[in-house]
Amino acid sequence: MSIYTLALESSCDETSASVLKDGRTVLSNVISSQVPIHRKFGGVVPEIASRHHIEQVIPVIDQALRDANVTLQDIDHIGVTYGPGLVGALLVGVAAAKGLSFATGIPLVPVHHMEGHIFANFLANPELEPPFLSLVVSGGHTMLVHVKGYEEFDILGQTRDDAAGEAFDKIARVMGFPYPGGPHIDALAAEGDANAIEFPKALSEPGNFEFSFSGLKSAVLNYLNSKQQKNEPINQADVAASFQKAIVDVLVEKTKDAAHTLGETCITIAGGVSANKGLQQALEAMCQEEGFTYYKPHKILSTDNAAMIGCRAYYMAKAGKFGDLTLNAKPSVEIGHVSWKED
Amino acid sequence: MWLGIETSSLVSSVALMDEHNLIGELTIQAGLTHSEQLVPHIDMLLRASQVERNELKGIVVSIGPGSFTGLRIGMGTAKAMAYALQIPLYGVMTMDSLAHNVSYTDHTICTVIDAQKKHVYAGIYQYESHELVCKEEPFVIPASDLLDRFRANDDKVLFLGDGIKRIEKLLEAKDTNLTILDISQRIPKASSLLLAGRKLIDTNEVSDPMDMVPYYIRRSEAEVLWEERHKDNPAMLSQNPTVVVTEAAGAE
Repeated sequence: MSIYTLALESSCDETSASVLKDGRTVLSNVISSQVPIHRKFGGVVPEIASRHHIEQVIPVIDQALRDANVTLQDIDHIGVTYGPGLVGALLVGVAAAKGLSFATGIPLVPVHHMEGHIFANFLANPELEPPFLSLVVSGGHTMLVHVKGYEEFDILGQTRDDAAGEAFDKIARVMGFPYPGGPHIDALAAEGDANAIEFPKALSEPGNFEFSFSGLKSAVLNYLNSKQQKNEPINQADVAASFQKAIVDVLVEKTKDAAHTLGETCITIAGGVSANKGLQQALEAMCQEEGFTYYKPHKILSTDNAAMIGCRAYYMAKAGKFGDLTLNAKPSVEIGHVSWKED
Repeated sequence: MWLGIETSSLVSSVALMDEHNLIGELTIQAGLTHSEQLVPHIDMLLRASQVERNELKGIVVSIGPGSFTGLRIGMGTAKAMAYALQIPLYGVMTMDSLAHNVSYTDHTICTVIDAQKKHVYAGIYQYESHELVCKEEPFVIPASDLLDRFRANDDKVLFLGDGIKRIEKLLEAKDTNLTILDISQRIPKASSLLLAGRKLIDTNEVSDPMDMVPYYIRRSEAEVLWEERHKDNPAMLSQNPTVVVTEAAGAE
């Protein structure tokens, strides 16, 4: 008998529902993206995001079930993102998942969004098994996680201030690119000289797995401002390339250092910033040099989607980690937080 | 058997009604979040009333105006339940439901819902030969302007709803015609919601969980500010982007 998972994700500006078979086969993964709506505001507006989630939530569930050619009766458990994320956005998914669970009696599984991102690796790479080292980089998070088993994660270090993706988007905005600006910087960086400007790399001493990008962000802003004040020309491509290099070098160097410290030779990358070409190339080159097995990122690893939540939910259900009807949304919650009810 | 869900304010209220009777009601105002308590309350009410989920014939939910988040929790739950149980869903305006708290009076009933920043969403109702009639479309108004309007006409008015906190402090000794209802009568109740919903049930005015949205009245502040900033630029204003829906299965 196969196990069917229905999963919901609504933590930011994507309303998504997915059906998985046996945890690793994606039968459907419907994503309703609000990116075009938030673009004109220069970033995600929480109230507008929540308004679209309440409109989209049932249509995406309905389409996910149809695309997978199953009905609610076939579903074994319902996974839902309960945090971290925008609270108003999360609440819509949580309310819908609880409504479905209560009406049908199908057990509920509360999933941590970033654990979902890590588990997306299992969807992208069918042969991948723990243990491995995962670099998780998105607009809200930057962390190195040691995935020791399906239910055991060690966070080696996180960002103290801005997430890497946040730094990308902020610098892109200042340079005049529309939201989300990260991909524009990445494209521009490919044409520039990464060694043209020396930007600071914080916390780069060996053994320190924490990140900090606010100093780098300020340095780039200062550079742009002072050039402007002196009426000197700015080579945007060089700025983008040098800024991107400062971030990528830190991410790659810390990943290498962590792998050596742990004796871990298997490396994965997850989160929205994993789509960054500069980061992909640098990480791959490092892994080749060090003899590490590198799992290349896939598209599914870079967007918020319910399939990754479903994959995590499947393993949680296997471990008996179910939530109850009092489940609440948690805007900021650590990886590994106990969201389930212990028997 | 119909289930009523009312979460438009700080009050969490759920009720069950059949063709003849109010079977049960659970109304809690204890400062807990709707997210934590709503589904457990529905569960508790069904158990206490010995009603099975499959006996539900329909769900009536408060659509607003009210707390944006509260409305979305109630509606998200109601939509999902109606979708899963394949039963009809009905949406009732919060003020229609509130007005049903008061039976057969010759006073004007004015429902006031907190709209923040000294404003209220107001609804005006009167009984006309035993039937409650909504006299005006709901509107947003500064609380002080609403009182002045009733004072000018010498109207006899009963106020209820959580907007009371905006008007209470503005009442003066001379306002003998303006009455604020007692604490048990002024809060939204799912039993009143079901009463107000009866008309929709009788006339089969069903809402679809696929496209039902809360009745916010107000647009989001970000949109209002954005339009203000671009009011001289028709090309910008005419932009109306929508969501992009994709099926990403197979992309892994």
